[in-house]
Amino acid sequence: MSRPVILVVLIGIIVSILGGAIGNAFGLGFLGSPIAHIQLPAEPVFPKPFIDTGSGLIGDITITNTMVASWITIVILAAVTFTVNRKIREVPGRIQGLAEVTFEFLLGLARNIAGDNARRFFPLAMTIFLFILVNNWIGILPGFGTIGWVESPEKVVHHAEVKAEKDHGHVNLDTVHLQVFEGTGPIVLLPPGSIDNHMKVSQGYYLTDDGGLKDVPEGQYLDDHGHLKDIPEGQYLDDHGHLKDIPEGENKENWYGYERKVSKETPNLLIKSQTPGLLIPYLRSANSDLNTPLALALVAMVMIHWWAFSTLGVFGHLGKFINFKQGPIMFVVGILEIIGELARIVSFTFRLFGNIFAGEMLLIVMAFLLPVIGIIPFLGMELFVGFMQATVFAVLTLLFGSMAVASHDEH
Amino acid sequence: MEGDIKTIGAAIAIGLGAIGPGLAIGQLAGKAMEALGRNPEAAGEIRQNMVLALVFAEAIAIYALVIAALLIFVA
Amino acid sequence: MEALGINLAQLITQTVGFLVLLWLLSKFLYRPVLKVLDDRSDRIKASLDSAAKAKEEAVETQAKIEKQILEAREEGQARIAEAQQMAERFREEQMAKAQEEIVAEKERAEAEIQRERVAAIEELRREFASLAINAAERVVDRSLDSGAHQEVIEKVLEESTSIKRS
Repeated sequence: MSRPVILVVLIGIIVSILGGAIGNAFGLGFLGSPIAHIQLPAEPVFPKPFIDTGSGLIGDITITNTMVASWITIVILAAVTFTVNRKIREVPGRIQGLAEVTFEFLLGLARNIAGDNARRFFPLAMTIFLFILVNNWIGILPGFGTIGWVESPEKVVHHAEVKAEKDHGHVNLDTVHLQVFEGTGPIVLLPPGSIDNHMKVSQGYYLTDDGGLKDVPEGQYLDDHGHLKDIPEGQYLDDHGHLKDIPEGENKENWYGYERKVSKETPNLLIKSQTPGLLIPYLRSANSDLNTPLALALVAMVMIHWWAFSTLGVFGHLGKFINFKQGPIMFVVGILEIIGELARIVSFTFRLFGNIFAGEMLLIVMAFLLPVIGIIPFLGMELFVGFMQATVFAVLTLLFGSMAVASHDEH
Repeated sequence: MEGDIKTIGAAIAIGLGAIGPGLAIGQLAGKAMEALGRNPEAAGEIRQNMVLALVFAEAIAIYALVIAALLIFVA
Repeated sequence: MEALGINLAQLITQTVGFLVLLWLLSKFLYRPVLKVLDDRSDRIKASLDSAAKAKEEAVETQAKIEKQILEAREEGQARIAEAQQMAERFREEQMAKAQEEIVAEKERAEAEIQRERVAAIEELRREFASLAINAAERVVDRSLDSGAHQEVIEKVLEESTSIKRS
């Protein structure tokens, strides 16, 4: 590498370190991206449920961001399908060539694993592969998890209360965190350098007597007892929430400027031009929500048993699990097989979910530690992980399928 | 205090949960290298199978990570 | 389950979505693409087969041609050898014939000479006999006694023998 390239890379690393979490400890952290809110359940795309069934079993039908992501995947795959299908030729074009390479790859796997059953298992394995692959890969595009609507603090607290009601009945607002956004309109931004903008609800807000949530008015602050007080003339709140004198000759307005940080330690510095709340992204990688991997696992296992039933017959397949003929030991083995089948569903689900969810967390943490450059290698790794998980899911489907259709005597 | 215990639990979960996969990945890679040394012509196949097995070993660590995440975000 | 985010409605939605995708791809993507792939592999196989066959044929033809060339060469050589042999034989025959002819000619010439010589001697003898008879007549004419008679005959015979011997 030539010298200028090394220099640029070095400057990039230094800027990244200083602008990130380490620099933040020294009052820099100008590049710090906010730590996105991490939660397991998928978030709704619209503030209100789509259909309120009122039924306890199904719950409110909400359109979640993971659903939207998986629909985007379906649309992408459908578009590819129709592009390929419309002008399918003997000499492949670009998209058809790509499709054929993918087909050859998975067909090769299927032939290796399932042998004669390759053609039978192929559609399911291929669909699983494509669906997971496209989901994983679009999931790391920019915009996923970063563009969304802002849920108001009242709603956040309300959700916390609903959740707390189910658990033990009272809400601990100290555990409820909010994000702070620049601006108040429909489009809000997390301010740059806002690594510490996660504030606790109880600190950035004060609770009114009737249990409502209100932001601290400009020029006022919450004292140690949670009471609203005016900031005295000639004083300001420092980063730790303590009152300090404004130095001589300084304009007071400057001390309420945008660069003022709102941190856990400075609960009362929320200013008028900022919006507290929680970013609910419009899009989120479909496999980072347990429903998608679980749905895939269930479909895969149902199909596998369907194949087994249609090959071995109802009694031939059930005989693997409920076995009276060959003595008590084989009966227990059959029971263990049932448990094994259930464990397969769980491991299918959590392998995929865990990898993708962990990948998202990893990217968030890396963006926090080393902004701008830190996530580049991890983006590459996520591409690889996304591909490998898709392959593994498809390979395991083929493997379990070929094991299931093998008759009892063979294995 | 509740949060502290949760955090410790999550740390223990991922810490202990990473030991097994770590050993497994080391063993796997070592054996793969040995196989590669014995049979350099089969490099492609060995690598492919090694990566596949590595993913399975890694998945165990991911399970531990999921448990840790559950402890922190859900429990 | 709720804390994990597992929700029946969402699960059903995702399942239905996946099944729709499965149906869609099976019908519109896998079938045609697999057909194209199969066709192509069939055709490649067929063309490979035909190429192998053509190659085999070419090899066979080559071998045949080589064999033919070899045969032709051998035949040619055999012909040449035969011709040479024939020529040799012919030459020898001609030679022998010539020789024989020469010998025969010579013999004939010799025989001729011999015969001519015998004929000449015969002629001579006949001439001589008539001469002798003439002489004898003349002698007889002059009447001859027995002693002179005997002497004359002896003398004539003596002379004739000496002629014959020479």
